[in-house]
Amino acid sequence: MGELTVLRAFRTDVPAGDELARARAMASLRAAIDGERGSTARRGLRVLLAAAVVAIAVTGLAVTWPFGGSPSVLAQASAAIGNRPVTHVVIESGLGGSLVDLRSGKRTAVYTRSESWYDPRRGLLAIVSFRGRAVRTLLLKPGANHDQDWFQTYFTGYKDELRAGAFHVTSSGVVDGTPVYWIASKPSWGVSYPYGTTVHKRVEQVAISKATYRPVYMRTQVDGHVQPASGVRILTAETVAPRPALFEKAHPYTPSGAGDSGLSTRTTLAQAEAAMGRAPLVPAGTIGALHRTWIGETGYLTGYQSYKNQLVGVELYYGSRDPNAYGTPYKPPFISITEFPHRNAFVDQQGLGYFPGNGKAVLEDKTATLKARGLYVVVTASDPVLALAGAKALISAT
Amino acid sequence: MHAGDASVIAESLEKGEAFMTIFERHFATIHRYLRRRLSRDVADDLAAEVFTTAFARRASFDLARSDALPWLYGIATNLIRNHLRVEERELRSLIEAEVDRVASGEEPIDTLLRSSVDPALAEALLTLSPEDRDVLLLFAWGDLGYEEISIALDSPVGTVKSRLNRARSRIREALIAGAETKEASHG
Repeated sequence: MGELTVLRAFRTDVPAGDELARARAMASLRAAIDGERGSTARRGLRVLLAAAVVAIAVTGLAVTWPFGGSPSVLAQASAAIGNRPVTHVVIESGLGGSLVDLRSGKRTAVYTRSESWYDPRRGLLAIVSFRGRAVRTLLLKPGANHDQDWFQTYFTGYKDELRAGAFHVTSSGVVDGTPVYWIASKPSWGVSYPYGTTVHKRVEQVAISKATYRPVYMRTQVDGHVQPASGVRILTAETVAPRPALFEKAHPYTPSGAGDSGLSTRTTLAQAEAAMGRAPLVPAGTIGALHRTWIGETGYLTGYQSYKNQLVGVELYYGSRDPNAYGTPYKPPFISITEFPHRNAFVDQQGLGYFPGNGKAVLEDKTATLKARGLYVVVTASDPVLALAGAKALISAT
Repeated sequence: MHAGDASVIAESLEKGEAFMTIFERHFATIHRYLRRRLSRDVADDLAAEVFTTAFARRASFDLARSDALPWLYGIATNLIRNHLRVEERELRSLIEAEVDRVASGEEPIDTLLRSSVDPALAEALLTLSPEDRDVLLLFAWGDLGYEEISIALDSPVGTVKSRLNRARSRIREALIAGAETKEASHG
């Protein structure tokens, strides 16, 4: 018998391709696919979607409540919302973010407010404001968005889960001084973003006022831990009659799914300047203990998967990169500084979407955003302290 | 007749969901290959990682190639290299389990799993360099030809051929030696 025959017979009867392994792998891949779309839609429109999620949750509450747990609480919550066709929600997100004066270190708490109307016939309209000023209007029309299938799935999926009894009352508590009932979704399972292989348990938690039975707060719990910066304060949640004029009169900035191309190709500062049409801001070669190890040209798409119409920015990376990483090669501790000469969908989607000038930055979790010398700058780091250090180093370079 | 892998991957550049077709076509094959080389938990994890990695890197897939399988095997092989100790541990455990089974005269619990284990072959595989083992197993278990292995491993065809020849010779010698030992022990 030849060696190949023996070899080919070796371990031929291992159980392979079984359903559990297949299901897990499929979940990972779906998460990766969704994660990529998330880079254009979910991540980019997270304020919008936070509003939408609330909107859909509330819609689900309003329609029917066949859920287990505490039906009286849930039924009253449903009654409090009403059952009109359009859902109107006002939320504050990015709670915990701050506007930082990079020279004095003075911090002011800031957040994003968004008011949204979800009309199944007309789509989703959201007005996003920052420090009392409307900064953009977003409109997703049914059938008009490249990612419409995804949005449909997202909306109806969430709604269906509610209808299917995916929520239950878990506890009582106090949120912002308001006594509340906490309700929680059934856990969902998914891999970590963007290309992780560890499966995590995710639960959405909503706080309902004991006085009005309206939702006042929502947050996300992963593996039993509340996610930092996942909290959304709900100021208004109601169902109203259709208001077509709102949608007709709006002059929205309609996101087309633009986002980063996911590529950062090595370049030089001179090449980056030529590609961008202006000199990048260049901090010192070392920030803290981190050395600059990468200068990359980054492409930003102007539309959904519009690889032909990329706009160019520059990425300055401090710290070591993981050569074996699949996806983003960032290896903590790190600071990544991305600069872009034009405001665009990608830029708008970072942090709280606000780019202060005058030596200030908005810091939210591990992301700092600012405007300096006409460049829109996003600093992402492995922790908030390094994000702030990156922003300060930039200001020192101006 | 269904679209080739290349056109599916091209489509997935615009619409990521299309990549699920690649998963449907090749998951069982890739998982089986990994399962033959590694322990179950690691094989399961890596099978998932092969496809998420492939998805992340699909823009680098050469659309001139119609079949994605060599490319997927290449990703799998790279991932296995991060788990060489797991593979070697798995081979050793197979040898020990088989030796124990024979020595004790008892039927193993996992008879099905162990029934196709040849301790001499497992030992021989352990003696190969990781690179030679990759080539040999892609040839024998992955049913890839020289060209395809060359694509999978990003190695010249000549290197693939020489590695395969060397690995086959080592395996052949080990099997002969094992058979002689067995004959001697049976008198």
